[in-house]
Amino acid sequence: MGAKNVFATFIGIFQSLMGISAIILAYLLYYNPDFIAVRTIFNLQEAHIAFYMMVLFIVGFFATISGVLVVYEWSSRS
Amino acid sequence: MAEEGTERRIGLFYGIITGLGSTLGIEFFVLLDYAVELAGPGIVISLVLAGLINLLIMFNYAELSSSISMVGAEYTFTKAAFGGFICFLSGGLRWLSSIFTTTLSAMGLAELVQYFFPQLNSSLVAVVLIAVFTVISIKGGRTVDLTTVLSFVLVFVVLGALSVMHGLDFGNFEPLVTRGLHPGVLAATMYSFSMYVGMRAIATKSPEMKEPGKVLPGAVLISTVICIVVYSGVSFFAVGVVPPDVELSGPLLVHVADIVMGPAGQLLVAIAWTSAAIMSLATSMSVQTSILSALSRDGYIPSVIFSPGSNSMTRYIAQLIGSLLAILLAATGLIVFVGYASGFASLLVFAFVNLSLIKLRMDRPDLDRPFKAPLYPYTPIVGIIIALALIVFVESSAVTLVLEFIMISLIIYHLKMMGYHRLRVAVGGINLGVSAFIALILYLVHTGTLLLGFSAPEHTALLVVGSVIAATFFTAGILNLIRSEKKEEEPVGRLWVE
Repeated sequence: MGAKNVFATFIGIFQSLMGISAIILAYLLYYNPDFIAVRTIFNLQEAHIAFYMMVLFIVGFFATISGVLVVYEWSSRS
Repeated sequence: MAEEGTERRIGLFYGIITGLGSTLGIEFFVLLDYAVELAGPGIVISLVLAGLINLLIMFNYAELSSSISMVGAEYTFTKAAFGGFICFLSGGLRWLSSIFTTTLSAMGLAELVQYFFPQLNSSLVAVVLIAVFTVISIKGGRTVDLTTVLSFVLVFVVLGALSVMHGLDFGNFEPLVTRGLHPGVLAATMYSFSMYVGMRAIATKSPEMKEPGKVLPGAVLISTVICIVVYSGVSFFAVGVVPPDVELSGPLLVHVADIVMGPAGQLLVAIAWTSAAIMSLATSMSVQTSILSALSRDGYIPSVIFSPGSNSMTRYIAQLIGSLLAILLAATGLIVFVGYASGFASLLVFAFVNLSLIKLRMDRPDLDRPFKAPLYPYTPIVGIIIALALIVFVESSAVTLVLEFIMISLIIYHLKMMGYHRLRVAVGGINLGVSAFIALILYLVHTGTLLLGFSAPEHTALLVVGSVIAATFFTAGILNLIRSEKKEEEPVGRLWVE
């Protein structure tokens, strides 16, 4: 596997992890658990939570899919 | 038009057994009590009417199944008539409704188990039942069908005979239409219609029938008549033993059995209930496999699920996918919700199929039709009207779930139509757009145009993290674009190319 493939795989994995993190953050926003009160940390208004969750879900889902596609194309088929 | 690689081994007898096995299901036990509440003694008329309406509509199925004798049933009919998204959606909804039926049957049986063993968790029992019947279904459903159909019919014959010996009070039938023809009897007809809907499973067996043009309508006719006799007969005995206006603490049939036979009667109904649930489970699992195979055959889902002439891996994968979803639904324990969702999905498919018959009669008058539905075009029009009328009774939360499924189907369909090459180009372009948008936000924050009220360290952290995210999306976009290669896509769409 060449340097380009390694770099692409790294970017793909990194983007997918970003996507998964965004989705996890969306869940944390919804539940706002005691051990990590996300709403308080980011000083978010209750009325805006649904909007932030939607954005995080869409971006997270897209980033995960995009990252998987990059990894699939540059590692499996190289 | 026939499917290649499928052995035609089903004759009239097993065709009738298939019809009875799929129709004499759990719906009868679940729906009868409320139907009696709606119509009173007129329930007997309602059940006969519902059966006759079902017979007319099943003739539409028989025409389509005998002329398009291929795996997939409703999905294949809509594919021949409309192609494209409607057929994909029709197949998806039919598959979904089978999963709901599997879940409902398992949950219904689990409730009965819990009635006798209150310490057991009904959701857990339902999950175990689905797992067990997945194995039985894979190993071979014919034995299960025949045994359970015979036991079901036998139990009700015994119950009916003992009811007569106990003595029927014909005063319970006066007046016959206590709650009026409308809404009483007609509302009960609509409500109890679901008891017959399982009959359409015969259509899925068309590719395996020896002479679909003769066997299929014959099996539909005979099994519908038997079902009408069994349903209306049992409800007749029930009303004859228990007056319709009596407040009951448990299910009507259990109460009737208790009056005429005591605890042994309760056991007998429990056996019939179990048989009904088993039949529903076995049939819905068989339909799931059939629909999934057809969707796979046409390239909508991975081709590993469909391989003509093979009956090993194909059957396992298709069955396991449906069973896993059914297990997840069963674990929720929401039996009423699953019941409504199942009905709604089935009704939509019903409307699509009837529309397909009309369209095919107009577009392809030359199509070889070994059997033609009588009273055309009234039969498909009646089918569409009934399907739409019944949707009014569906609970709104179930409608929402099925509409969500339709939206997901729409996305999957368009992604499939788009093709892998275009998908990668689109993903690459969106990546670049997202990175440009993040860069713009960061620029506005940096210049002070967009005020976020952060402290200096937070401001710096935001710029660094934002830059990393923007750079990642930009790089991923470029990587998606430069690696995309155009490949030939598998053809998907109409059954016949004009």
